[in-house]
Amino acid sequence: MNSTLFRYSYKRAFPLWLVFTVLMCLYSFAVVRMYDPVAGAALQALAQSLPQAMTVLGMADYGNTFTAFIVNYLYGMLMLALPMVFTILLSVRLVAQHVSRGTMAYLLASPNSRKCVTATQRNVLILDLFLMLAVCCAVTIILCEYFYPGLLAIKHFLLLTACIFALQLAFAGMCFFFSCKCRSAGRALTISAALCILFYTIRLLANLGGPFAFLRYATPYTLLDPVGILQSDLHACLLPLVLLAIAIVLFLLAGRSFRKRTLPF
Amino acid sequence: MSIIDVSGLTCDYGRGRGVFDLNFTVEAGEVFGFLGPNASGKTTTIRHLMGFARAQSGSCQIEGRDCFQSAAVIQETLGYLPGDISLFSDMTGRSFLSFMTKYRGMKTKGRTKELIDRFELDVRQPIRRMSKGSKQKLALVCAFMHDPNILILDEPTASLDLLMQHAFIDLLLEEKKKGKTILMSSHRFSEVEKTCDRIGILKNGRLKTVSSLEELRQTERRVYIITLENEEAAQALQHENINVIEAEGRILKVSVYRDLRSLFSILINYPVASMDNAGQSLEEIFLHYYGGEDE
Repeated sequence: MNSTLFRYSYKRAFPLWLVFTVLMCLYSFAVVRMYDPVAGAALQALAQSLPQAMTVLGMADYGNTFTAFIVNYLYGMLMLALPMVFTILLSVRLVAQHVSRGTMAYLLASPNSRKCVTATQRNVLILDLFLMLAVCCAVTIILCEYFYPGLLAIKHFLLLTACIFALQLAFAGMCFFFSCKCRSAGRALTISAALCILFYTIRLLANLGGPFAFLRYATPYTLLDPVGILQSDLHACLLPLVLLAIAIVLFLLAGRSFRKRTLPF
Repeated sequence: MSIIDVSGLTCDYGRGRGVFDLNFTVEAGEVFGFLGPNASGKTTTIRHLMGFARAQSGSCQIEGRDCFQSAAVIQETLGYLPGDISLFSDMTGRSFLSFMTKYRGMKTKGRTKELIDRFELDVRQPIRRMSKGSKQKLALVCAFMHDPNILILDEPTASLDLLMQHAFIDLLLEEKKKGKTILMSSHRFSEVEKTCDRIGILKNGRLKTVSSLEELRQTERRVYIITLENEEAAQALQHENINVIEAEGRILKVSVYRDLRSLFSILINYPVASMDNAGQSLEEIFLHYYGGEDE
């Protein structure tokens, strides 16, 4: 890894990171403030009468605990989608854009190998994702403790956030792979975004159940089971390790494909 | 051992583009000029030397190392100027140079200051607001700042004004004196003439010739404009054993390779009104290679 490039890339990604992180913190604030034990019960009733509508939105019925409420609303939709969009944008910027613009020529016309360049950029992506989730998780915990002291099951919440990090890493690996592989930034962006949206849509369809239930095997989201994790189910807690393995393989493949390829400048 | 060794390099992009079976070497301390029309494969060859592209067949070596496999090691003592100047547009000139020195792992700023002064470059400007010439100067500083032993320059003076072209040629001659090995592609005959020891001329991805400037001069083609007294004579002269480039009325444009005697022996039988020299620069030689028939 090259620390000069790392600092440059990190600084360059910071505004984007800040926008997404602030958005997520605001959302987290809204969710925490939305909690109302009485309304919670009403929502529970709504979920029971319209189970389909809720599952389509990705909000499963986790029972009426505070933690379940927070997890349900926080990690149901936006907290999955926002880091995903951030990952797509940042991974394209880190490699494909340098290749597209020809600035990669300067990065490679130096004693730093291609392996070193991709490793540095990959670390920026991973660190940014980690910091994003860590900040949001911390903000949520602080907000919960401030407004409803003692209600949040912090250990479970932390564990779940760690598992979400594994999921985001798997997506990051995929986006980074296409960023390293594609000839132009536009193509990398299109393919990454298309696949992410596809997996997300498959998840929504699979959640519908019925004839679409089999689709759950076609999306990495299935490897994340918030209900199971909240119930300390061992199987649900180990599944994210598969996501981590997928992430590692994809990042390795990304580095390899960049080392072997002919660059267009 | 040659510093740069290209043997049998082939990279076919289809539709006749790319480079085909390229063979040449550049010795230590030599300045090698790479000439050729647009899309003749100059940049493609340089991309292979820089390790950006993988050879389909054949090999590229610098100091005995494979250019693709050992790119990072080779780059330690190599300076590169890309033909397509696309710098980090979000930085100022100064921050770009300080980024590059640190990124290269240089302990000092090297020759940065000296080169900035030399090219009269304003490094305070943001790169995106720089003129093409300023960007080129910045890229030049970047290529020379770590005092590399080998330089690969892709059209180094493409957007420099006349004054800066001279400054660049002076710099190149100094580097040559220090024994640096330089490979540069160019379109400007004047700078090639002043700096290069040997020249390779590429056309359609094939090396047409590699020779020293002296050798090239000897093959120099001279063009004469011959005006005859009447059109009939001009018509008749065209059928003689001479190389007519252009014919218009009484005037013929004829090219000759050193063999003036045979031209005169033919002309003696014709009513020649006047005979003018139409140019005999090195440029003519290049044009001859550039425009030559495809085999």
